[in-house]
Amino acid sequence: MKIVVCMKQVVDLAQLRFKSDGRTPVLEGLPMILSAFEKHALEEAVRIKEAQADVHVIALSAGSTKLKETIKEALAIGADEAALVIDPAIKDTDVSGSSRLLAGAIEAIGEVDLVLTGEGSDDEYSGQIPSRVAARLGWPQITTVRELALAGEKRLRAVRDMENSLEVVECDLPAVVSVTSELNTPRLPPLTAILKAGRKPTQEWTLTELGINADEIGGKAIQIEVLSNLAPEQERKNEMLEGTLEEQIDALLRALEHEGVLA
Amino acid sequence: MSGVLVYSENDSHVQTLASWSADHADTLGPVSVAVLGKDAGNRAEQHRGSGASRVFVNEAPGLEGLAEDVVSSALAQIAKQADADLILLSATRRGRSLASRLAQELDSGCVSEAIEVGIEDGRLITGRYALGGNTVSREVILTPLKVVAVTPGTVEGSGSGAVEGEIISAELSLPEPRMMIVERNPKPASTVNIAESDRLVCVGRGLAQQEDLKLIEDLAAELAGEVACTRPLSSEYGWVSEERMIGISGEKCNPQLILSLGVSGQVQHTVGIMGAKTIVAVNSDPNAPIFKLADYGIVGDLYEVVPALADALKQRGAN
Ligand SMILES: Cc1cc2nc3c(=O)[nH]c(=O)nc-3n(C[C@H](O)[C@H](O)[C@H](O)COP(=O)(O)OP(=O)(O)OC[C@H]3O[C@@H](n4cnc5c(N)ncnc54)[C@H](O)[C@@H]3O)c2cc1C
Repeated sequence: MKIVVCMKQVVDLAQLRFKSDGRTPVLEGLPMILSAFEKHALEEAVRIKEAQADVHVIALSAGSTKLKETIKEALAIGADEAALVIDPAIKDTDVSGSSRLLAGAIEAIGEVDLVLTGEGSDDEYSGQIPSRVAARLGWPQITTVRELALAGEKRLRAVRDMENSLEVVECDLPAVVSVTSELNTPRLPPLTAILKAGRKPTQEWTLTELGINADEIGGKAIQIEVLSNLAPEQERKNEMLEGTLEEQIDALLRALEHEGVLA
Repeated sequence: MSGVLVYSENDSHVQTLASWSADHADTLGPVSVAVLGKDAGNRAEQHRGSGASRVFVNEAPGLEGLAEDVVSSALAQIAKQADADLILLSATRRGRSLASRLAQELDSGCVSEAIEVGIEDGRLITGRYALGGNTVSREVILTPLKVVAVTPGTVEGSGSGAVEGEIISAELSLPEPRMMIVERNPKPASTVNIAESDRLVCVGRGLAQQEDLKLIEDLAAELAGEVACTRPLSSEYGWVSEERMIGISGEKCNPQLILSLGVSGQVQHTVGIMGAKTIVAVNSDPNAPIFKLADYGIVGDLYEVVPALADALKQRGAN
C-alpha cells in the first residue's frame, strides 16, 4: 500500500520578528522547517508501516529548492522516499494552486491508496489543502481525525473530532485524511537516521514535468488578494507590579476593581 | 453582488449569518438559506423569519451523514438555483472542511475561518489569522463565486431585516455518499464553554503536578470564573479537559478578565486571548513573552502568588 503524506515547508515562526512599527512581520532570512501539524500525519504513516507489511511512505511537498534540505527530517523520521515539486513559480501561488501541485504529484506518483495531511499548517492553518486535494482527485475526505485504523486492504475507519461529538466513520480507499495533533506524539528522529536520510530516494518535478502550466497556479488563477497582513494592534497597559507580594496583590486588586472586571 | 446562500449544520449559526446578511442585503443581494438532511422540513420553519427570503430544503437520505462531498454538491446546486455568488458557512470543524471542498468544486476562492467580515466600497472584506496567529490577513476574494466560513461569534445580526421567507423544496441530483457514519458519540457532556466566560484563570506548564490544580480551581472559585489551560496541560498531560484549552487549535476567548499563570505566551496560545479586556500575567521569568501582552504583570512564583491572591479575594468578599 502506498501512503503519501503532504508536508508543508514553513518559515520558523518561533523566530519571527517585526519591524519597528511592531506590526509588520519580517520574513526574510528566517530558516525553513517542516510544519508541526503534518508531523502527526507522518508519524501515523510510519506507525502503519511498522505494523504491517508492504507499506511505502512518501513525503510530498511543493516549494523552493530549500525543500531538498528540509525534507530530510521527514526521511529521518521514517518516510521511505521524498517527492518534491520545486519551481520558482510556486512562491507566488495560493492555496488553490498548492492543491493543484499536490494533486498533480499524487497522480504522477500513481496508485496511491491514502493521502495524509495535518488539519492545517503552522503558518496558514486554513485546513483547505485536504479538502481541495480530495476534490481535485475526486476522492472522499475525512478531516480532523484523532484515531485511524485500516479495515482490511481497501477500507479505513476513523474517529473524527468534531466540537461536540466524536464520529466513527468509514470509507473505501483511496481517500484523503487530515489528522489532529491528538492522534499521536511524533517521534524525534535518532541522529543516525538524520545522517542516513540523504541516501533515501527523492523524486523531483518542475511544473512542466508535472504537465502544469504556470498560469494554472499564478497570475489570473490567483483567487485571493491580500490587502494587508499585519500583527493586530495591541493596546495593553504593560504595567509591572512591584513591591512585596502583599503590595503587588493589593495594587492588582485595586486596578481590577477600577476596571470593573471583578465579579 | 447577486445573493447570499447561508448554510450550517448548526441552526443557531444559520440564524446569525442570515440575519447579518439581511442587514447587508443592499450590497450582498437577497438572502437564501439551505436546510439539508434529517428533519430539514421542520427545521426550515425557524429560519423563515431570520432574514432569508428563500429557504431551500432537501431531505435526501444521502445528506444525513453530512459527508462533505455530498453536502458540497447540494450547496453548489442550490447556490445556482438561488443565484447566490456568496456562500456563507459557519467555521466549525465540519464547516471549514466543507467550505474548502465546496470552493474547490466551484473553482472559487475561500476563506475557511474568517474572524472579520465586513463590506467596504461595495466589496466583501475578510480577515483571518496568518503566520501562525501572529498576523491578521485582510483579503478580498477575486473569483465570481466566493465561499467564506465565519468563526462563530464574529458577526451579529440586528434582526431588523427579517422577512417572511418562502420555503422551497430543492431539486437536487446528488452523488452516493462514500463516507459512512458508523456512530456519532456526544463528547462527555461539555460542562463549560470557556469561550463565553467573563473571567478565566488560565494555567500553563508552570504548574508542576496535577494535584496542584486545586490551587487554580480555588482561585477560579474566588473570582467566580472558570479554569482554562494551555495545550500541554490538556493534550499532553491530560490534566485538564480539552474543552478548556485556549489557542489556535482550542478555544478563542473574549473574557473581561483572564489571569494567565505560568504561561510563556507562545502565539499559538495567545491568539485565543487577544479578545480579553484585561490580561494579568504571573510568571517567574521576567522575560516571558506573555508580559508583552499583559495589562498587569507580576514576576513571581505562581505557588506563592495564587494562594495569596485567592486569600485577598476571599477577604474582599467578606468585607
Ligand atoms: C501547530 C501548533 C499548534 C499549537 N496550538 C496550541 C494551542 O491551540 N494552544 C496552546 O496553548 N498551545 C498550542 N501550541 C503549543 C504552544 O506553541 C506552546 O508550546 C504552549 O502554548 C506552551 O504552553 P505553556 O505556556 O503552558 O508552557 P511553556 O512554554 O513551557 O511555559 C511555561 C511557563 O511557566 C513559567 N513558570 C514555570 N514555573 C513557574 C512557576 N512556579 N511560577 C510561575 N511561572 C512559572 C515559565 O517561566 C514559562 O514561561 C501549539 C503548537 C504548535 C506547533
